[in-house]
Amino acid sequence: MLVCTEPFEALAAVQASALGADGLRTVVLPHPLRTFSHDELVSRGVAETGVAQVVELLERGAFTMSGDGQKEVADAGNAGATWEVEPGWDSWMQFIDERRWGDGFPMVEPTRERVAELVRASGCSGDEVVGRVPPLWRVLRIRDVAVNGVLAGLPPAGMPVVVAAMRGLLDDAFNLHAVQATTNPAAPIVVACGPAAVECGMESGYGCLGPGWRANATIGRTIRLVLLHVGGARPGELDRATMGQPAKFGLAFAEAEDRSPWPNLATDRGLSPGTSAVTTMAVCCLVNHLDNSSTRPADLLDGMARSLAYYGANPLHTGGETLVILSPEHAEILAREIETKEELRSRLWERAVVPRSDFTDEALKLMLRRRVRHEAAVSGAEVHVLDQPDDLLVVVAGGDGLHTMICPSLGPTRAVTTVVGPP
Amino acid sequence: MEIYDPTGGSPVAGAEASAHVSDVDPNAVLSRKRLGVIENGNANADFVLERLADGLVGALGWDPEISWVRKPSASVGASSDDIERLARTCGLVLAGTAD
Repeated sequence: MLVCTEPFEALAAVQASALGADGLRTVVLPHPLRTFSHDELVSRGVAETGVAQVVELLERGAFTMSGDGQKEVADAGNAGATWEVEPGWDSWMQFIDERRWGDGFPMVEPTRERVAELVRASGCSGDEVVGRVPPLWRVLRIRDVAVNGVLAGLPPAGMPVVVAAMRGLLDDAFNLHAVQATTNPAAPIVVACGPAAVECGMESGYGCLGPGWRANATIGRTIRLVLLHVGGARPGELDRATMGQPAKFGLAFAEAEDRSPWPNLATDRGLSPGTSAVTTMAVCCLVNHLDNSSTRPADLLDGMARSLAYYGANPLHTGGETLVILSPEHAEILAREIETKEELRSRLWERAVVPRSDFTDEALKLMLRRRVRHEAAVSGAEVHVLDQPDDLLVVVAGGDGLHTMICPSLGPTRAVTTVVGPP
Repeated sequence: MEIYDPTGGSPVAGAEASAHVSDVDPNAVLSRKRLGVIENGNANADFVLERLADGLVGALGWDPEISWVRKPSASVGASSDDIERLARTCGLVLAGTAD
């Protein structure tokens, strides 16, 4: 039997159904549980509520569940289903509103011709399966990516980048299910490098994380629409994000490789220089780090470390990674003394600490349990925000200016790098 | 105007699930001498589930041993080894949360 609190009852039922376990018995407890003391939970009779439900469910008939919930991908099913819509903008907008499709912005009609053009641009067959998208675990085919690409306004040249990013998001290490159903605002970020990023027009300079760049905007948006439509993660329903964040509309950019003193991220992660690749990661927020006075690398690192390590930083409590997007000018200062990213990661990691005394006993206990690789990070009077230096991912992007962006990840997820092109 | 469905058009009905829920005799639950509890690591989950398990034992007149699986985080699944072990040995498994 599944035990959950009220806001998660619908998610539990849909998950059970999606995995073939319709009828899984659910015990529903009053929400919330985390915010009460033990004495308050006892006085509210929470456990007794659960006991009564378990007994009642057993009296109605016990059950057993077998199998692992994995699904065989159907050969065809009803993939590629189409609808007939009255021509005209108003009827199209009414059509998508009635189905609660989309991210809130208007979308482009995914006609047969437009979808076929994006499928061709992918270099793959439309029926090719990319994977299954949680939390509904629906099958995602190349054609589905293309349909959502048309809706998002994706130029054909961006299609290979989107497909590579989706392969990364559906890699087990990424743990997309955690991202899709959590209360955390986590959202995918896509970091592209190599010739494919240039060819599709991805921006790496001024405002690359913001509006005005069609490839960046529509690559990020296509991914979000896939997560909404195929994954079924609608806010307030299966997506339980407390508030979400603007990055959930879509976030993709290219590295400014021409302004980086060091190799790109894909090379850091083992690919050959010059390879077209994307790295996907689930980021909780973007913290702007302003430092317009430091001229020595050590001073810049000291300040940057304080923007990495603060009590609310997700990796501090749950483990995880942090993406550091250095502005070219900050990178230039650091490169005066730091020859490799390995050295940079090491020096930044050792500085990024909070006092152990910041934690209550209960918070420390939870942190130690959740950070399963915390051995090197928790010693003496300080706690490192990251478990190890390799949990830092460093890239250079943006225009002139002394702003670096710091993006902590959702703990139980890992960044994944995939090559753009056939798997 | 003909447009494609962006949801994939082939939800779960288009795939064959390998998990199944089926009814069994309630007495079979209590005939096994082990209760499994998967606790997800959220604050107070351990406290609530320990009391729920204790209360259940009293309410059912059942005196099983309790097998705990304590996950590091709600965002990761229990290992397949743990799930297989619980399925093999337990009459009832509570997969629990707190939030």
